[in-house]
Amino acid sequence: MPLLPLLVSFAAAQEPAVPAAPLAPTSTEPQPPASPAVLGPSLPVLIFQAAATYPPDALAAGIEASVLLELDVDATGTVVAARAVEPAGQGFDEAAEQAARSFRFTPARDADGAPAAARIQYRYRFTVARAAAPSVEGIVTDTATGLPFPGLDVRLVRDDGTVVYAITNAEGRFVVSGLPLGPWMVVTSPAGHLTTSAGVEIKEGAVAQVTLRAEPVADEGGGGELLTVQGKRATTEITERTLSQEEVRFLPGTGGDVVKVVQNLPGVARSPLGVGQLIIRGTAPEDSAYFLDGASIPIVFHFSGLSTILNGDIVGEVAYLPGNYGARYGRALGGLVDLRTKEELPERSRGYVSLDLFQGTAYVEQKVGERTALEFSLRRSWIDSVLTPILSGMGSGGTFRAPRYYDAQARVFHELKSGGRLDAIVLFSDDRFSVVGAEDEGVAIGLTTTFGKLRARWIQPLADGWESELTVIGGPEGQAFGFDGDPEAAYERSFGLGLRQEFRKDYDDTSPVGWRIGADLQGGRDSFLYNVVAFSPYESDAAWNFAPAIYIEPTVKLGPVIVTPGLRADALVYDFGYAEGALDPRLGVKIVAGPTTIVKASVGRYSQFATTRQLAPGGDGNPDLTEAWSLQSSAGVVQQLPLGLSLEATAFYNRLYDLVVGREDRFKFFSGPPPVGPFDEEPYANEGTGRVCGTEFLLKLDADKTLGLLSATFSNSIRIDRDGEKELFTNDQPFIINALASQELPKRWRVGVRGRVSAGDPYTPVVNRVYDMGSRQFFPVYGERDSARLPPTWSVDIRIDKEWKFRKWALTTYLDLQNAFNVQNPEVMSWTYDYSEEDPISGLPVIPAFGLRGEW
Amino acid sequence: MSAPLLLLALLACGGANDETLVDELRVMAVVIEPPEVAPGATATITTWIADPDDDAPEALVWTCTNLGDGCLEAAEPTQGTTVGEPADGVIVTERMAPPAFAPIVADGETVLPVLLWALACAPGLCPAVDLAASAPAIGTDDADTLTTFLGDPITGAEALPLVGTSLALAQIQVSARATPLVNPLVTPVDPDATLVVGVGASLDLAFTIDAPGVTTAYGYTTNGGFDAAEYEVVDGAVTLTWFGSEEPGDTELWVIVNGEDGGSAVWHAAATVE
Repeated sequence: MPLLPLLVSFAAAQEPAVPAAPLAPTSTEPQPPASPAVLGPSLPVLIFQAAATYPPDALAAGIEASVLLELDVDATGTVVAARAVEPAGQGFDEAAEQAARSFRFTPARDADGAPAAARIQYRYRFTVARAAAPSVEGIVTDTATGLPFPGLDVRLVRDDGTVVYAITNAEGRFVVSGLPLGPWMVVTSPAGHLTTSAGVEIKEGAVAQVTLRAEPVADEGGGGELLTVQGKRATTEITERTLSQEEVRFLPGTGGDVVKVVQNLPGVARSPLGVGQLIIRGTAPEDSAYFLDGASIPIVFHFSGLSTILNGDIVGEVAYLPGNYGARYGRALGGLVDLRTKEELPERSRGYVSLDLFQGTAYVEQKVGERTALEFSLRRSWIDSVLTPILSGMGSGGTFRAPRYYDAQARVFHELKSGGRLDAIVLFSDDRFSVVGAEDEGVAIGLTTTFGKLRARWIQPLADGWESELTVIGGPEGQAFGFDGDPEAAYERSFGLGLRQEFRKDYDDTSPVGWRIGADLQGGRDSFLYNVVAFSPYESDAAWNFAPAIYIEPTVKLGPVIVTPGLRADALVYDFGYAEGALDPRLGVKIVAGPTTIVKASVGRYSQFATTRQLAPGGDGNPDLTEAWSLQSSAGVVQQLPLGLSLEATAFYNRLYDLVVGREDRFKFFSGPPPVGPFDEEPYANEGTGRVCGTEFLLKLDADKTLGLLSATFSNSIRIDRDGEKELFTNDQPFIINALASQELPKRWRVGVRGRVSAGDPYTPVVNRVYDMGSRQFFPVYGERDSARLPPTWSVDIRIDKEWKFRKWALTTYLDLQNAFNVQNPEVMSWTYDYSEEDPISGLPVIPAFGLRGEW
Repeated sequence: MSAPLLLLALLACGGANDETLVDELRVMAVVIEPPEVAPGATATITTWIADPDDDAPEALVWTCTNLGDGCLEAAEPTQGTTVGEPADGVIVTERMAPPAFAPIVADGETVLPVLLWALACAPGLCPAVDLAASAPAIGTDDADTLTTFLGDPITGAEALPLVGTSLALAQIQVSARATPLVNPLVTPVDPDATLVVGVGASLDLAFTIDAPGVTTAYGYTTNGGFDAAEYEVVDGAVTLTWFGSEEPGDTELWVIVNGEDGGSAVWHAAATVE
């Protein structure tokens, strides 16, 4: 049974005959019917009253008024028409009429006691005294457009079933006064949008602030599964209780990184040793894509996976789409993560400096005038220094290389007088390993990843509800593998330029069809060198490439059914004569089954071209390769539950075709874990297939002072090689369960716990060995590929925060116990020197990370 | 993003001293004398096998000269195999370098390898040993099975148990070089030294090495261990330190010397921990 009808019926049973209980007035003093036009012997009785918005100018001037309304109430108790018969002007009439249309009455009764329609009069009184003491103030906006929702029903629900209604004004704002103290849930369900909610605590003498941002149900097209982890100003923001970055910052195991929360969501497998891979729905890390405002970027995490390459405070929201996303995204077989920068001016200038075990961060957000803001962020890790004693303490006594990274961002955001937004961001990221450990003798292996990007974006509202977004992004990126004293024994470099133009229009009450039409152009020059004969033959080549794409995605709203067909056309051209194209049709359907329920299903084609190295004839590439593609399908339901809970369940089935296989004798320099044989050593070919199926569950709690997340994924991912042999995907994890909770305590304390349980990765067992007399070393004889599995892993992280507030700044300290029980989880299989026994490599031991953050 | 994984995997491995303890059946060394022969010439092959568990193993030694279509030896009645139980841990056999290599190495520079395999098995664990011992007639199913194993023993090893078997690989160098490779000579400085060490104590074993070029020494024992997995031979001398274990008993010691370009030598002795 949907939640809302249940709550309404419960409340009606509790207070059936209280016509004007001052429970939820918004600067009003409701009056009983003055002179009802009787159509039956029993009058409608007001049981729920929506609060009208006090006209701001009148409120500022201290003007009070009363409006006599004539209301038509149908046989269900719903107000079907409201008219001011004694108007007061100055905006009072419209506000009262709008509020009255959301009133709920008991039905009138005719002579036989049957429900009947009725016309009554109702006096709505606006008084400044009540208006001046609101309990809750809020705003509802659209996450996609940032525009407010006027005239929207907002429900405030209390634990005892009490429901109070409010109506947003033209600016999307609402005010509710006179609420009993205690916790309430604020819920709204704009047409064509996901239900969004937030908890709020009504306190004596305080006005709770709440911001609700509603996600279009078909915004990402194809009925895809957009799950937004909110940034500072994202989906739901309310003082101290929303899933904002401020609270994600306190979650254990995430390192305070809003993007890392994605690793706890359904569909994301646990990455070995906690490195920053995203293994989404049983696909390889290189099959997932990362975007900055829709434009491709090479990585999303630094080497260690400890941090995102972009400060989370610059990110407005993080969209994680595990599959079946809309036509605006492409070039990936797996899931994607889109870091979306903020699209709003900050309320005030601010900044902070934070230091913890792993990194130091400085961040400043500065308002310049009324329409411009600047942001700067700089981070530097010092994990190389931290890891030395830890790794030495693990007893190896050897030399290690630990990750070290920098990143920096500068951004300017400007609101145009035309209503548009213009922003530009420069970001730079540099990752490399430094030698640490007992013997700083210079290990012959090193790895660096560096990239810089300039992204400029112009969003401009157009006529008739259309909006234009133009994005330009470009810059160099490169990865280098150092070996035996040569810091660039292998490298892949590119200089790319991307141009993206999108026109979009959301459907609304006047037009049931929305549109998203765009072009996504990428091009540049790629070069690579592989000169590590210990791992692979010499390869080198360079090539210009151009990858244009166009897409169209209408969204049609047919009552409660929202259909989103989409079509994306991709092409890839190289100057060595390669030209391929792909056409990806997609279809998504969402059904708003009730005010708290959405059912969804989708199917689509997703293609991914081979890499430059796989194609280039100058290396060992195969220019005859075509695109690999997947047929993704999914179906699920999103259900809002009481007390800030929501539950999402999704089943998915993906088929993978024309996967590029071959050349596995190569060391994987830049992606994926080191391969363990036996390998496919044949030339590259589109001869691999696979399938992934599974179910995902997400239970989310966003309640007063408590934030909780429980996610579970059950899946199976297999591959079929060119010989038709079926094998498990390298990172197939049949079950992954994550539980996160963070609780705010008195006196600015906060405690959080994260627990993770997951199946171990498959590995290829060693069934025998060969003893080479020349090198006097053993070499393994492998069994069936990926036919064994590491034991399940589990870990618990605990985090405690304490904040001190001062007049102009605040200081936060925290202790983040990662792997608090020091569980020695087998992460990667290894063997003794003679392969007689398995000797798995365990993950990191307990790490007590202590941090400080000073904010102003 | 595999770098942390890779580097930890590569660098976290340690415990080199463990490698010097031989606690299971193992082919210890294969000494080919001479290590480099001309086509048609014969080399003596001495295979050393450690059997700390007294499994009374059987051993199969064979060569595979592969010119692209299986082993040439498959046409021989014995398929180039020698089968038997090691006497005092040693099996000695002879093999002739394939005359077919003659035109290829006639330039006096080319060196071709002939793969030499040695398989030691606890009794009954290796069907190939039994097949070779039965000397099946060429053309029979048994001969075909044996041929398949001998031609690709790595794949064949997938079906063998890991415990109780040991497969080793060496190479006979075939050339017509004027100065072929020679084996080093390993000689204890004190041939009459008493090889007895107390429980937990150590004993230095000094050797002189006569060999051209760079050589490396490796020490192995069935009781305790050596302090390093390998020793660099400096100025023709090397000293290995052997540590007795916590349990007294008889043991065997091997010192194996490998030349940089090939060739090897073995010193083997019985010893006691008391």
